[in-house]
Amino acid sequence: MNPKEKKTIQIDEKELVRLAQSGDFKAFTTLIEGYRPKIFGLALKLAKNREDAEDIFQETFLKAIDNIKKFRAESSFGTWLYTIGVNVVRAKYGRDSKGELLPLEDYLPASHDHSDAAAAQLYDWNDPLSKLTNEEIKGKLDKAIHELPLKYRLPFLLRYTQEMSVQEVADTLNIKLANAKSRILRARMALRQNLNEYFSEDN
Amino acid sequence: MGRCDDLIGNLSDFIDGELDAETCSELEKHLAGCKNCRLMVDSMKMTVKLCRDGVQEELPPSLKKRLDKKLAERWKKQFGHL
Ligand SMILES: [Zn+2]
Repeated sequence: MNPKEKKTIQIDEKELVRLAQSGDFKAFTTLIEGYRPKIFGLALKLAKNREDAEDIFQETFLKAIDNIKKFRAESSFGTWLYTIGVNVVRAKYGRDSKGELLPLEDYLPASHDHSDAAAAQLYDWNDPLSKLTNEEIKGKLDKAIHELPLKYRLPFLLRYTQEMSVQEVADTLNIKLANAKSRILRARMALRQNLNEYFSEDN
Repeated sequence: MGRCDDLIGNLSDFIDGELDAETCSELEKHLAGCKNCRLMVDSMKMTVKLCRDGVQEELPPSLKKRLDKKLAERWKKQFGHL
């Protein structure tokens, strides 16, 4: 997107927000249009089951209506909308998701430095389909994602399913950039480790 | 930056292509000579690829319909009109 196009979109968004805040329903539905499938995809990955996913999805947009008048253009409309979604998820799962992940070093193979023993614990994933179908692996991955504590699950999914930058993840979750970065990496390592076990079965 | 442990903090940035050129080339040099790290990098790439591939991108029409109805109801409640 060239800078000029981007500017036009920003102006349109501002104008749509202004119209929505003054009661224009059509402007509001235009604003959320593109976010609906994305937020549903996110909710499906985040939630423990289909019913919860639909709840989170609908509640996010209903809460956006409740709060649209309070929206001040300090952030983009998208970031604001995701923040609402995150609050919906935290209200739903916050209490039963207090777990922690291991420190980063623990996700490295036992002796990651150059020794022959270490090699046995890393497997070549380039050939995963010889053992498991892609669907099976995705099922395992979804299960592993659901097992991540919420504070890791959220940043990981915002980063890699919504294609946010690390800065946007930090802004959306209202955490420091360094924390966002570290949580995304630890989630990724934890998931990698979890899947790694499946590739080792025949070794 | 010869040791494997030293590169781990930069791994995600490296894989996502967000590392500065100098650190990036150091990392590549290390990877060329270290099978363990190569396997680690490959499997971390695959983890995210599998996750991205599995994201549903379409909204089921029935859910869309239910949402539209609820939004209209809530809007009327908040603003008194559509
Ligand atoms: Zn290494």
